[in-house]
Amino acid sequence: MPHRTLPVTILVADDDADDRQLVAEAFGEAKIRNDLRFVEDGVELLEYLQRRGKYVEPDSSPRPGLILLDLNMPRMDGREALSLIKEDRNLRSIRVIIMTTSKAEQDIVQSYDLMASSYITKPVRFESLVDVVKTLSKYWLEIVELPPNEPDASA
Amino acid sequence: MSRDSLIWVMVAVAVFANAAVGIFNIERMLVRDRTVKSRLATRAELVETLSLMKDAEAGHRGYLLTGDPQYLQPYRDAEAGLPESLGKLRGMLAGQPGRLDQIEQLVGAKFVEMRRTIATRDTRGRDAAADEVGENVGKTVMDNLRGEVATLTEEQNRLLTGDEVQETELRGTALTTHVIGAVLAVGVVFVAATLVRQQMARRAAGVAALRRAKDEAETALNQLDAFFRNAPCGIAYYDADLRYIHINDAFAKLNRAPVEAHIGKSVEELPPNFPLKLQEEYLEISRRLVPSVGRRLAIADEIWEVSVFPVISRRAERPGLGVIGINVTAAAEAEARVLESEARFRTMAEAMPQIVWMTRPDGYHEYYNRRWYDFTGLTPEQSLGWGWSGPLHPDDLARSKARWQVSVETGTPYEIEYRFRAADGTYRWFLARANPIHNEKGQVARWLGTCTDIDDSKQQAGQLEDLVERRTLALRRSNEELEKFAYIASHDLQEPLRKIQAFGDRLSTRFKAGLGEQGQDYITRMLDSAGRMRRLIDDLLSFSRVTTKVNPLAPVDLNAVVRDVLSDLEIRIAQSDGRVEVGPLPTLPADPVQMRQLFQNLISNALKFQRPGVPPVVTVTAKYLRAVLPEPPSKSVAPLPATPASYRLTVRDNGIGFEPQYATRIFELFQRLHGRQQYEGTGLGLAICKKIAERHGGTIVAEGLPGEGSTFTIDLPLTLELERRHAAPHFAGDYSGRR
Repeated sequence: MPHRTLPVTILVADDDADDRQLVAEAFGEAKIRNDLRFVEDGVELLEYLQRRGKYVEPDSSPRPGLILLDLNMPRMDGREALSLIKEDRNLRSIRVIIMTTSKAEQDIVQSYDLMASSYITKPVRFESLVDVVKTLSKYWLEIVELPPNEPDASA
Repeated sequence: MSRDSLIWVMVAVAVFANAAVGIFNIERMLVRDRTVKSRLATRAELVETLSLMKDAEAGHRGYLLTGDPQYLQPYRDAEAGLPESLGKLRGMLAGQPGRLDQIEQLVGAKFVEMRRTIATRDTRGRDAAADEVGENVGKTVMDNLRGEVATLTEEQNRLLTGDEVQETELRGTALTTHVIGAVLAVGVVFVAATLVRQQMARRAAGVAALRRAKDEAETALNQLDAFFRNAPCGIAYYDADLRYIHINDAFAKLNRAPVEAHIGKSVEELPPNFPLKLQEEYLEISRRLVPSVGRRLAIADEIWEVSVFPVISRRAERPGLGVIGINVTAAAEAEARVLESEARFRTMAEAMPQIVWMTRPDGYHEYYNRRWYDFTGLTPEQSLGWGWSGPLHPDDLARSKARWQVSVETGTPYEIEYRFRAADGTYRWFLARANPIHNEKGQVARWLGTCTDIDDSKQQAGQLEDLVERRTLALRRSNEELEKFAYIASHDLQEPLRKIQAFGDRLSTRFKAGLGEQGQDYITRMLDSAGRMRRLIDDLLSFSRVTTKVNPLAPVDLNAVVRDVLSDLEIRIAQSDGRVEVGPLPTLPADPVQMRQLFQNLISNALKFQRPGVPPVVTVTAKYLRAVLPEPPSKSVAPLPATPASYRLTVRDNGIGFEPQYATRIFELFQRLHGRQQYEGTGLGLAICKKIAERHGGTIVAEGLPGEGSTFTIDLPLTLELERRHAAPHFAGDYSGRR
């Protein structure tokens, strides 16, 4: 696992506590030590990214390099959150990977229309989830060149 | 010509002027000649006169000296000759009267003196005479005379010199006129020669042109003659007395006499074989000078079209008569046939209970049967052309006109339902249909259409339609709710299942040691159950999606579909040691995803229900079924084929089969004929197949006997549209999968 000068923060947005736990365990199983943080719905996700509410302190909300986003969430779902992120000039460059249970074609098409970077259906078996997490981090954290972690613009 | 004339006039003027100058010159020379001669004679006469005087003086002197009368002889001769000489001179100098007076005076005075002295000699002797002579009278006279003669002579000499000068002038002029004359003569000759040459050249060219024209005329005449003789119509040309001038082979043949036998004969002698009175024709034609064209005459068994026309030529005072006859028997018979069939058609059309109409290719209505006029109460004048749209219901007008326009422009059959206003003002629904009738060139020659009164069935259908629509709406709404429910339920049911599986996995891997063997077994059973439930939900989801997730029908190559399915089932086929034989399959209009699901389910079923110990053999075949034509036309409004053309797809296996009484039940939801332990499955696969077949407007049936295998037969109809394209059986590829 090569270490970057600033390890990329990975932010997971999922309303399901079980899934959050499974994802955290899968990262652990895959031995990926990046800073992993969680939010529980779209509203919280936007608060985090725009440093509002309980995320006013920059220390509490380091800018993520990668967002894993569930589509079906209460208050604000993943589709709306995704479109708001892509409308925000400061947030637009962050990679957003949809990770959901939905296999509906409409959801897949819509997500890519909204500039999602990838669309992944949550695997059924845990081993498969570990594989997915490994592949994701390998691709997005090692193979791909991401834009430099730009200093937080005063939004 | 005018240039030549001018030249000739100028030449003539020059010649005449030159001749005039020459003649005048000659005249002057003659005058001068006479003058010179006269001057010379005058001068000679003057010398003669003086010489006579000298002779007289010498004789006189001799006599005086000698007294010898002999000497007087010359004196006497001179005295006798002088009057003559003086007379001549006087004549010569007639133009100068008085000019001789002095000389005559002096001559007279001399002779007076000489006579006197001679008389003195004779009378008084020689000395006295000498004395008298010594008085010098005689000598003075003589000297004066000499001087006078010399003066005159001198004068003549002077005049002669002047004449010479004049002669030189005249000679020059004469030379000039000669030279000019000669030049003119040469010029005239040259010009004349040139003109003659030109004239000759012109004449030669004229002759050649004439010869050429003659050749051409002959050629044209030959061509005309050949054309005339070979023309496939009878042609004859009569003069004003109705005698044959020309007749061609066809006409002569009609008259049953050779061409030569006609020429010069009158129509009385050799009447033409047309039932036409040419004498009467001629009277009429020569009076009005208007041709009579294309009269049809029966000649033996044939029909001829005969034209008679005046032949007006400049050379003849009265017009001749031309006759042309064309054999039109075949065309006339064809026309008669057309007329007859037309009459038959009209009789039939008039008797029809439907409205029948006919139009020109451009859609102009030119015929309606009686039923039209009875129904609409219109007159033919109101109906012809586009009058049919008059009684159309205002709501149907634009649509009907546009639709009719489309058919007229594209030549495609016309079919439409619209309302016509009856004579009593009520509207009734009609089904109008029209088909183009093509001529031998494939162009639309006319349209033949009918309007069938469908008002009664339309009313019923309308009520039925309303009912169906209301029910369909209700059904669709409840169906949609059901589909939505099924989808959400399946999705929400899957979430907890996924968790059960995920945490079960975590449990069995991370706490394997603590669970013990029995704990492991429980977990395995739990996970199996979860997996089964998951498949059940998946199948239920597929089942509901057959109608909710529809793709539009598109041409689907079933060969490719089955190939994909076989590739997915490859491991199962290999494990069961089976084989799948696939015959040539068609391309047909279908939902590609559902076709794949259909074959996936049927083939995997066929592999699954294998007889123990018997390797499965599955065959997939297809067959084209022709449309079954409808019953003879009845009251049915739109007779469609009772059974449209379709493809029959068959999947047959050599598996365990089933009891025939279950043939229907196996397509129902969750129906299983075997325990799960024996054959896995959710009991949804065939229900999905049935739903797919039905969604494509088709059917699926199963046949089987226990232990003898099963046969699943799917009939998929082709829509009318696609049926046209698939008029003949169409199989793409010849794929046969053997594993």
